[in-house]
Amino acid sequence: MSGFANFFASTGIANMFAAEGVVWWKTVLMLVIACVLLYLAIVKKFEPLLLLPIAFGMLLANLPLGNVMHPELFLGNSIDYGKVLKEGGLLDILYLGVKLGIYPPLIFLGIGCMTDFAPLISNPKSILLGAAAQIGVFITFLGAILLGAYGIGGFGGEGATALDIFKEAASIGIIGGADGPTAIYVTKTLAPHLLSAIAVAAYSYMALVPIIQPPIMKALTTKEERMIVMETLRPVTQKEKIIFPIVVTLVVVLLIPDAAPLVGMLMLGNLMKESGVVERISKAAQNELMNIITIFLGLTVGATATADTFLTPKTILIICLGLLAFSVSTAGGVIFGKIMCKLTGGKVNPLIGSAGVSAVPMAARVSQTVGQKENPSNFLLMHAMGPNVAGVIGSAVAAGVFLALFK
Amino acid sequence: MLDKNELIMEGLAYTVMGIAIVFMILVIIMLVIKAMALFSSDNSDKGKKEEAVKAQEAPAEKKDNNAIIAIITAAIAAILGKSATGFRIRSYRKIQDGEWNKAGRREVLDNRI
Repeated sequence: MSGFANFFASTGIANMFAAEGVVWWKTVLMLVIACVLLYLAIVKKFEPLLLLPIAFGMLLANLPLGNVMHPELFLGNSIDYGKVLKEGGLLDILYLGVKLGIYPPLIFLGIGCMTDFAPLISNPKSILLGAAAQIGVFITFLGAILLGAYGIGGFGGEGATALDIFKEAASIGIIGGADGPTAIYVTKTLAPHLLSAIAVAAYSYMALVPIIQPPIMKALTTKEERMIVMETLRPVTQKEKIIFPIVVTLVVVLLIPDAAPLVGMLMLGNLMKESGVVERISKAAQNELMNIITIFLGLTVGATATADTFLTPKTILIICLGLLAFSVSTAGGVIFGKIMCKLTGGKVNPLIGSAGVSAVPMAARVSQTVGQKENPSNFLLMHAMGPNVAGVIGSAVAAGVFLALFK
Repeated sequence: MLDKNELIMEGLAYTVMGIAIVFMILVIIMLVIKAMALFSSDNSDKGKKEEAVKAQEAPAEKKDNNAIIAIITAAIAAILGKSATGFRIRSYRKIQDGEWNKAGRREVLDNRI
């Protein structure tokens, strides 16, 4: 009988109730949340490529004694990497790629290989919409600071300094960039303890773009504006497509060196695609490499969601502020689109502004669908792709600004 | 304890600065793209315009129609699910932006994205 008792004592079930420091119902609640996220990923198809690994990582990390992840190894300012290698579990080792900022730039490399900047090059003005749609990032940043100033939600924690609050606020604001890798890159540097909550919020809202954006777009535009048909884009030469990634890298990295890993890899990927001379590695970067990194990234980001860090009022606030960030970014893009519409004498359909939040190509598709409802013969998709890819650059620049200010 | 007003003012300053920097950098990129377009098209642009004018002048009928007929034949065969030997295309003409045209384009778009 003692053999059985020993076996029982070694199970996770026994430990769920006996473990020190963690209340059992919190563990159970985390497992339930993980299962709900799995449901959203599998049945509701919410960005399943990322949400599924994230949710499963959450499930794995919260099972007692699984020992696949030790978030405590990564706490504090000086991380003992030797200890991580010696004592770490499977996910600890994979998490190094997040912690050291390796995965998000590699994802950007793949995105670069898949992105066609031609609509942007042929209509350079549309890059301004990509900038306008970053307003939500900064407004939410300010919102989080306001909450922090009044001590709501415990931003920055006990005895927090102003810098702590700014760091957390920046990580939350960047959700409005609607760009998962960028949000993860900023958060892992500025506020690693919020990583799981921010990643879950960012990817969930990206999946909800077709639901969040249309009401805002309709509220801010008139029927006439939504019906505007835009001029056909001029064809772009291959020479321009090749020069573009090189000059963007030069401009952005010279001005904001902190954006170098993200923008640099994005533009490298794009150069690999447009140059046409390295088709093999371009394919590898956008398929195999990106898929592998996606698995590692999702799994380990999910695994940082322990009961201690995830089950806090802050997580709920992050979810709310994330929605604010998305909405304000959408509104920012649409309002700027209206301004451009007025200035150009009705040549710009303001609906393409909402595509300035990254979320490629979902946001552009939303512009297309909303526009087509008013005017079935209108094809806004290619026009919306301009602000859409500009949004990727815009949110990477916003990320660089935050990193430069608060790192 | 932190000073609320100071914190908020500092945050506000960062917010304004952040928006300004993002706009500034993207405006620079916009100008660079515009400059790039000037450079990359100044020698080839004239030729292209002339070509375009020529293309417009040239009547469309002069073109070799065999390729278009082959495509239409293949499309009909695919829709009917039969071999292309059972029918012959006698004539075709382009319809300006009809409803079927639009529906077709929309379907292609919806399937692709």
